[in-house]
Amino acid sequence: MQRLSQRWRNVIIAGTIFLTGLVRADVTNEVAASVHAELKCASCHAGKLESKRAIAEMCASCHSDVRRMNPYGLPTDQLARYKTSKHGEQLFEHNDQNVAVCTDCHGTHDILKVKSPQSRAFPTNIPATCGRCHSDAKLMSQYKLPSDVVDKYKTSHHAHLLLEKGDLSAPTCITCHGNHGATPPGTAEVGQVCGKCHVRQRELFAKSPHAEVATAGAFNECVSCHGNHAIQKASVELYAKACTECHANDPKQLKVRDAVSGLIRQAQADYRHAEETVHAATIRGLATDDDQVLLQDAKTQVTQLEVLQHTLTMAQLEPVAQHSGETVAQVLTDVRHMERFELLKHKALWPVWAFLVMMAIIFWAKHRQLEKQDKP
Amino acid sequence: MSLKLPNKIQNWLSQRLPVETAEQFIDEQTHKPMPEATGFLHTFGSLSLFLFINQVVTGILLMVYYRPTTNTAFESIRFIMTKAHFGWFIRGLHAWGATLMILCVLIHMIRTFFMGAFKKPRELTWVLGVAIFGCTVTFGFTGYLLPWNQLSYWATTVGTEITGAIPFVGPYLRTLLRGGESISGETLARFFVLHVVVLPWALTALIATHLFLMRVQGLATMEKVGEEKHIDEHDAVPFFPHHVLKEGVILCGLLATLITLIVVWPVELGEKANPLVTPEGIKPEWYFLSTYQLLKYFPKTIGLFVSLIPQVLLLIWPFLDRTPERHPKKRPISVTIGVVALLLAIVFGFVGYMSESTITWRGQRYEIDVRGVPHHSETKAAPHSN
Repeated sequence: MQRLSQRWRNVIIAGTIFLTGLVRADVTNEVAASVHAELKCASCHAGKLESKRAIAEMCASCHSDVRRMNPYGLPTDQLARYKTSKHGEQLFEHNDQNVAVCTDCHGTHDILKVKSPQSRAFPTNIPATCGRCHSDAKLMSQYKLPSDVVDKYKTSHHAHLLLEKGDLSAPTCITCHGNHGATPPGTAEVGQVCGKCHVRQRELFAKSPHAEVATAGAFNECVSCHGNHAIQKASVELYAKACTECHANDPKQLKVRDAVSGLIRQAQADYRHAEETVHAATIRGLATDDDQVLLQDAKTQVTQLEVLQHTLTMAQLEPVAQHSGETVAQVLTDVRHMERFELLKHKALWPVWAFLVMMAIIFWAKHRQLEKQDKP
Repeated sequence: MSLKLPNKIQNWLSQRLPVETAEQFIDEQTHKPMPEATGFLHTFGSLSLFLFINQVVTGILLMVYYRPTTNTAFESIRFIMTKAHFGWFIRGLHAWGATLMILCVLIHMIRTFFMGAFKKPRELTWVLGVAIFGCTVTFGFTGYLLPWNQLSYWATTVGTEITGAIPFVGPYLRTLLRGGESISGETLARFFVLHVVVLPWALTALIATHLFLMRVQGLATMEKVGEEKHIDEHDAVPFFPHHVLKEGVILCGLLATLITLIVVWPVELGEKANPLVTPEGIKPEWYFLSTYQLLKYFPKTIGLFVSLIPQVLLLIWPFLDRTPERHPKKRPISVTIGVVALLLAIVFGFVGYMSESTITWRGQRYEIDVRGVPHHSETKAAPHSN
């Protein structure tokens, strides 16, 4: 009897799902276009999905199964990592139904592969996906979190690269905060997070006078100078603002600042001048192939300077700046040499003109002589 | 004075070829009597011919290194300019030679027009001359694209776009010219073939026929049609050496001008063509400026027909101006039309040159819009008419 009732219950559930499917044609279409098109409705809806925890566990029933995920090459530790995240902690430890769970970021019936540009988890869509909760001022106020982080991010250089230039390697929210194991970087970890991409800068920062202060917790590594969500493209102008935040009344340190920034500013200006000179010479048709190679060398040195400045040590910067200056000087000398040769061509016009005028006089004199001879 | 080969060679050739006939022909041509009034203005035809030969020779030399593909055209020109011995000079001779050739052909035509030399029996010589002028500017148009730099790319884009305005066949003609929807490697290949194969042979044939007619009919005098006097051998000026010496004097001036232009205003290499970046102030070469400006005042198709009117008039002029008078003082209507047409061409050309630029005059800054109307820089410039 009990077996029979169980069978009937399954028939009723399947029938209900089937009828719902007929009525909810949009859902059917969404599923058909999704990555789960081959699954049946009952694959997810067989059990009760009354809580977010149930959703996470239902997704994990497949996504933590190595046998099932292996053919797709997908990892199976998402739930384990999710449980370590702030979202997971809130859900599993405090049963907080506000936090994001699998379906909030990946969708429900319309889940697409992460590589699909329409996916909510595609890099260019990530800010909007995170922003659904993290831009909600009412929701964020419950957790004493700012609700302007996504808006700030959209003004950043990272967002410019990602959203305007379409550079998918540019960082989004999850690049710094993680995805399934989403955890906000603490003061100590910010450098590590930035250093994942800006490796050399971080190594050099470790040699700077600020490294010790950062270890002591009085200096927030990258953020103190560059900011975080609204980070802008760094330029030498940053020195004017960033240094005075802490050293406004410290003439000795401001002198170091002026020396470092002045050195870089000079190298950049010299390079730009050389680049413009070579560009103009190239357009005129002068042989600048070798100088363009030298310019590349100078550009590498200037770029190197921009990275080396994280040491804030003149002894490290000066040799590179000197090398850059010498390369630029070599380029400018070459172009001047070519321009002098062009002027020589102008001087060579005099003998050409003299010869042609002489020939014209000879032709004219001969013509006059013939005319005189012809006259009776 | 006659040209004689060394005896042994002459004997050897005489036994095999009609050397005497050839010698007689050359002698007749070099000593052909010319009207006494033949002056310096009559030398511009020969100068045009000299410049055509210059174009052929320098063109062949440039072709040694030039590679007509989108990946190599610009680079090969850079190689010619910077690495090949005297490449810059050869390119200068070719580019400035083209400009001077168009100028010489124009002066030659103006002289013929005002002296009434196109009148009976020389109507066909004039028509061929107009065809030569058309061929010469087509040379300029096709050659302008070959360096594959930004200016050449975008000027050709604008130039070929105009053909699209021809009713019915315009779009097809534009596609035929471009070899596609836009200027590409196909266009470069087509223009190259036109520039180095089709046009040189066409122009050679036209010049040969033009010269043949000129030698057969002789130079026109200022007498009325039908009243031309037979040129008396005693009063005439022999072509060689008298007239050739006069041409030599002008040729020296032309060479001095050509070399000065090459050295003082060298032909630029420019930036490689980039279909994604449109530079500002794209303008055609000076000889297209007046037509370019004229087109701006009319809707596309009407403008095209309006710009064709002067060219058609030029071609059929000998059949419109059929009065027997040749002297300009006795042809007031023709001369007035000619002077007005010349002035209009100069004014439109100048306005076209100045349009879409900014000038400072008496301390005030003016922006000149596409129609050539200056606006004080604080006032808003008129919107683009096209």
